[in-house]
Amino acid sequence: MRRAWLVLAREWRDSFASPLAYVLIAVFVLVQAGLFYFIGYPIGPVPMPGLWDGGQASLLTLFTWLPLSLALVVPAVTMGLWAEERRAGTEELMLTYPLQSWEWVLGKFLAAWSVVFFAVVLVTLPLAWTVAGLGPLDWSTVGLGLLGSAGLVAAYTALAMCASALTSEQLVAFLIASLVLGSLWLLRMLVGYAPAGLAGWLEAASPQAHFLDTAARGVWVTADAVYFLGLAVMGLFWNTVILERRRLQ
Amino acid sequence: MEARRKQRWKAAYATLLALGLLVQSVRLAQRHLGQRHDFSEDQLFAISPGTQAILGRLEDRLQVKAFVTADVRSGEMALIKARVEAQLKELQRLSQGRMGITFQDPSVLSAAASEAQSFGIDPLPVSTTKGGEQNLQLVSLGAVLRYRSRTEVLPWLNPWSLEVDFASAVQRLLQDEKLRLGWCGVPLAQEQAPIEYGQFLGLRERLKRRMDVVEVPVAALEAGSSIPEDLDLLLVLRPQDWHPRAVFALDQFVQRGGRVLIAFDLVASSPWGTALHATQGSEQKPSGLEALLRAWGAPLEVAHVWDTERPGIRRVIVQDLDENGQPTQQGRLDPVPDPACPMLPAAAFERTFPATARSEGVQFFWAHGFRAATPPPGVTRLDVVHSSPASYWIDLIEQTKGSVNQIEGQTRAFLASGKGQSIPLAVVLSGRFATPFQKGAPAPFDATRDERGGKVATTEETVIEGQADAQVVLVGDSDWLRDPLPGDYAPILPSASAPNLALFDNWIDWLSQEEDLIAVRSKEPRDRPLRNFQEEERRAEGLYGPDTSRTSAEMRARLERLDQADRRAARKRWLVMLWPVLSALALVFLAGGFWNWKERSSA
Repeated sequence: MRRAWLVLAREWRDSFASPLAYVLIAVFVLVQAGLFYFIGYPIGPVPMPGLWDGGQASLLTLFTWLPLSLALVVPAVTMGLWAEERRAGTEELMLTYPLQSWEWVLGKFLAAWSVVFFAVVLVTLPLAWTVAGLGPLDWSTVGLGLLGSAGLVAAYTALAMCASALTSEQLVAFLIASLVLGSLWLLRMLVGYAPAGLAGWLEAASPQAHFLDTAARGVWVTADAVYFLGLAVMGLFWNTVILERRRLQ
Repeated sequence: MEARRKQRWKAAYATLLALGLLVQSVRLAQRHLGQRHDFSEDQLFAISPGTQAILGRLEDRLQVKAFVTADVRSGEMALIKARVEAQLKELQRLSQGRMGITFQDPSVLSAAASEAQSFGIDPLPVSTTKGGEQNLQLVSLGAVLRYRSRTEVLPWLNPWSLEVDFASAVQRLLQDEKLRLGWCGVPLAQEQAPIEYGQFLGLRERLKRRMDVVEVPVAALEAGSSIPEDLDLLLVLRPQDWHPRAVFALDQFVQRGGRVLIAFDLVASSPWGTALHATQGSEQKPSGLEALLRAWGAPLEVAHVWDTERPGIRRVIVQDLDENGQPTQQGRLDPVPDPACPMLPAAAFERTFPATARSEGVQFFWAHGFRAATPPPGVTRLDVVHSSPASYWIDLIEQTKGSVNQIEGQTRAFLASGKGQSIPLAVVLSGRFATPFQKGAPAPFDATRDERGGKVATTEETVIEGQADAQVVLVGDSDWLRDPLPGDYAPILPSASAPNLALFDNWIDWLSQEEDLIAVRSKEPRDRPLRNFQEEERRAEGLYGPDTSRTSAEMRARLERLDQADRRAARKRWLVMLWPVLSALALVFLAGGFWNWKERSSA
């Protein structure tokens, strides 16, 4: 486990030494805040107004955007994790280190997760303080919303890392991961058109159902924790398998 | 190459299998790991303590027979069904073994279908798509609740209101007898009458679903009858021109500890005269209860309330003009913000009173207000609904405004007078009341001999005073409970909207001492209004409200100040928006810059 921390430190150094992470965080903060203040969430059967139009002290609109915006941000952070190592030829060297595959996977996962979650916190908390200054904000929904976001980011990161592990092209990794995460986001919209037998499965597989209906509204549901944890563990497991295979090759 | 392709397929299958397993375990977790905790302040997603208290009062087994179509083809409907089933199971868990549920499918079992039909549980057509073709499937989602020998039916289980519907039904089952409500004021029997202004058919049907509604005709009270003592509560709608003998009957009911809700309207309106914003046919009509209200410590003002801060939107008919400037038959409905039709927000309600503690809004029309007065010893008066502090008294008829210009002119005149005040629009009185009939009971009214308004003789009958604690809710309007006008005319005047009816139900529950139901019904998201910078700046400049300037120079100066105030408000808003974003970005870039500098220095 200690060696996983070393990987984490290495990844952090690499992330914050390049301007990409800063630009990404800045764009994420600006876009999320802009959507929250002015646009609202116009997608789906129940559109939500922006902060000023709605006139209510709530961060629900901000959280509602997260499943979609993270489907772009997370792949952007994770696309280079394995693909860049392969492209630069450092993967072989990396695999000769006295570290087990799962330690590499865990270290890289924690690094990417912490960067993205840091961005989420960075946009959520200042906005929450601002909204609390404007009206009676329910802080417990903000707390649970952040906890749910942590789970959402973990699941997304683990899945997006798999895409990075499958290719040596960062762009391809980004596209595959965005497509997969975007499809997960779409599942909720398909429920209305699905036959009854499938609807329950789609709902159970949709990250929105496990985040927006519950944590983002201040409700803790154990099944949601099972979902996010399950997706994260599954993603990390596949990552380890892919890395193990490559090590054997 | 072939082996590689096979491997990839295997990997894809394995991934799909793992995903399927994960989703199935999540579904199992949803079913069996039911832990769910609502940490939010509003507690919208948790079964409320009120429902738990009602379930806790079950002494015998409550049997719920749910008539539910098992094979629902629509995905959305299947999810609704799943939510209903999950909620029923949660209620069952909370009942601690005192509630049993059985499910029957009326689409499969003909016996179940006819039983469901006998309870009025009719299937609803639900649209489904099969093989690209749109079909309709009949879906049942109702339930019958049985407790001891009593039965309650929920014809359609709506997941969004299931808790309230279920708790109300259980509460009714727990009552040994249905509550008896006396209906007085406007006639109850209007079965065949066309829907027109001033009827309360919707309200009557709503009340009939949960209690026995008994008519108490005003004519009978005037003729000397008394209000039946076995009534649990009395609803008096629009009392007008009551003879003192009827007033005496009402007073005696209260003196005996009765519970009463009175909704006033001191206007005798021709239906369409009022509806079409014209004043023809409207005249003031006293209730006849003036002396009684004074004795109770809640005198009602004949004038109406003009709330300049909270005008409600209603529509007026504007007729097109022909080339000679004469009105034609053509017209349109224009929206008008009308201070005589105030839309009262959450801030207008008394928060210490259970029945208004979480009320979010109500809309009155031509409401009367209550004057401040000291209630008699032993009676507590609580003003539970207020107009805004910028409200004024306005006499009816001639000031009744139909156009935006007239309304604005009236508002300007009021604001210039500077005599605005917050006026109580609903009052709750409780305790032992004083009677104004200490000198004796008025003689019954004899239409063949007596004249209305003439001197009334007294009789030797015993006059009761303060026999038991009574509760009275007085509301200065009855239009808020009225049926809507027919068809396109509905938006002309406010009527019994959902928030209005929720407030009414709360008052009825408070009067019938069913406060658990108030707690259950009040599960509405709390209003969390944001600061309004424009309003703040305008207020700071003394510019809030309509224009009171008289000369064009004053008007120009006012517009300039308004513009300045609005610009200041916009600047404040931008500052408020920018600081969290800029501070977040500054934090990232400063911390990142410092870290990079340190790394490079050490390298």
